[in-house]
Amino acid sequence: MSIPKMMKAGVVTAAGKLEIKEVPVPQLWDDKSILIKNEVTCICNLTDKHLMDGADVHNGPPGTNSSKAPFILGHEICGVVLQKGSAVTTVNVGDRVSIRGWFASGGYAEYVVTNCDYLKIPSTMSAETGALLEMAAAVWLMTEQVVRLGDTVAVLGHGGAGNYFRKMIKAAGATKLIVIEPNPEKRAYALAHGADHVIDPYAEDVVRCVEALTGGEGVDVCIDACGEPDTINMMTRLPRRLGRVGMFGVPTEPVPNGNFFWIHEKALAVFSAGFHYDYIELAHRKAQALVESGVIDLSDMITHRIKLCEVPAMIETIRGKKENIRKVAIVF
Amino acid sequence: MKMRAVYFRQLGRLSVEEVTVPEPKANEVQVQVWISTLCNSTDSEIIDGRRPHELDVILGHETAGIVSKTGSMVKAFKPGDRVTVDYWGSFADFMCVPENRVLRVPDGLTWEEAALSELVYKVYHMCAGQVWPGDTAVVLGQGPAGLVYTQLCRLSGASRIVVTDPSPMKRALALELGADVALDPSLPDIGKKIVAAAGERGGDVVIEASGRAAAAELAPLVTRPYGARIIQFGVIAEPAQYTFMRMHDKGHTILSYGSFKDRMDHFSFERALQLLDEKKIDLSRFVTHAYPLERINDAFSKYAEDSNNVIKIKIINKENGE
Repeated sequence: MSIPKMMKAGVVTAAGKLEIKEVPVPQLWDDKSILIKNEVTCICNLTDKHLMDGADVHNGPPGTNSSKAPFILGHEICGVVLQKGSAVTTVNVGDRVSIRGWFASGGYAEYVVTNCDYLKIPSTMSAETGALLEMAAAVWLMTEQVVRLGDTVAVLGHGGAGNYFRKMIKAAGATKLIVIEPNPEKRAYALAHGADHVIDPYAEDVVRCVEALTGGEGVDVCIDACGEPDTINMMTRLPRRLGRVGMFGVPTEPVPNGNFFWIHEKALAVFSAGFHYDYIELAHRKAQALVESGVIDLSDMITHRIKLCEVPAMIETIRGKKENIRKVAIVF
Repeated sequence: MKMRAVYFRQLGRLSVEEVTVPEPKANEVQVQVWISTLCNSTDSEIIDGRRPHELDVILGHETAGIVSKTGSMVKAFKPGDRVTVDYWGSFADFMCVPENRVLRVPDGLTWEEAALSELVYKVYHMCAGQVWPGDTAVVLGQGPAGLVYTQLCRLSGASRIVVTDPSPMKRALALELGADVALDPSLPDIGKKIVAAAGERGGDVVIEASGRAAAAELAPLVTRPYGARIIQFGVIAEPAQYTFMRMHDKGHTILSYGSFKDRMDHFSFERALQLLDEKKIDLSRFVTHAYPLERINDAFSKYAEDSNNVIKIKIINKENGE
């Protein structure tokens, strides 16, 4: 397959500005690199927005910061290997790979180069599923830390992350799953697909409802799957004493009214999804195994399939928070 | 029989009253209180209203005394035993405590050590297993809890201990008790200075022992990347401007010491008494001021007005007490 000189890519040209531009196709960086023909990149509803806005996000080793414009957005990537460096031993040309693309050349593009964080997936696994594995890995990492067999669990938010969590938490052996979500369509979807209870946080007193559903105690675990400044304090209000908190979604700016009192009062442990960096490789393989074995079914995750040129408009739709979006796939 | 008891009946001031000595229930031990120490944050914040608390109760939870009477079912204690307790209500001449929350004090401990063993126990509970040999530990705040943390970090094998406190006196004591570097938190760019003092990587374990929002805000900025532990010992009664993003991208965990109202960790309390008996922890310079029980309001005022020069204030019940 001949590789063109130029390609189309979604480039953040300045904070808050995403443009579809004609840019050079990236070349192998070193003998450990691979070049892929991109098939699918999924939009990360929260972090891609944060990165596009120039927030201080550095999901990697110290000093790395992927938010300096201009850069190509997108880190949930799946494609087929076109070229590889001489030191690459784990994949061959023609293999389909899932990429955790934090240090790749950028997933909103027709071609992607990276020299790390890729995983060969079976050719029978779809490219959409391959792209969905990046976030599945992160959700596994969080779930594995905080959810235990028999737990009652509350999840704040039922967007992209919330849907992954619903599947993963049920698979982990939770006995009761409570989903807190303002959008009625998303609540209905949660209830029809395994959530035991749903709560509208704008219509009901969430703390009282959760207490009523747990015999007055609170849940064993609360996971924040939205990362809005106004939910971050809720995550410490819902667990029982000695319970656990999983902080998955995170606001980028300091939260002005962070309430630490409940962490003490309930003797909580607050876990971050974070980048235990050596560990995420394992998480990627776990995510693949969960899908391959049928424990987790991601086939309903993608609600929107778009072309690269439609991405800027879609980002605005995501910002509007009105549409019932789980995951958006950019199909190349 | 009558006794003195200090009641919390309104915000701002404690009320010293004469009341009937409480009789122990079947499972309770009546303790004649010899000494209490003020808990700088909890007691003060309850009295001034920063931390909501029920009224008409007797405060005080760091204490030691002598068993004066036992309930009919009590087996482990007899009158004359010197004890400490994990229970509230020590700002009085007598208190009744369920037997399972009373511990015998080893003979080698001073009254001050016996009263402060409760603090060592709470600190130990939230330190054991969290500090590993070779760790760089950052302890924010060198009040009584921070000064115990500094010593426990050293005992646990920490290679480097960086501490902060606004009080020059407490910083000097921290250096004597095991800290390698003691910094004033009001210095500009304090986060960078802590990280530099910690060897540019940041703390493997960061202990927030001041109860101040500013310290809680600082903690995620001075951890090392990947899997560091933040021990949130201080109780933050005020809103904190928290950078959750740093917690996310560095991947650390916040662990709380947790309120102990309805539970007790016997093991940690016994371990604290053991460490004091073995002279592994030095509390000899903790008590900086002493007041009789009647002047307890003056004691709290002293802390509020002169906190840089107060580590611990003891309240003496017995006239011949230390």
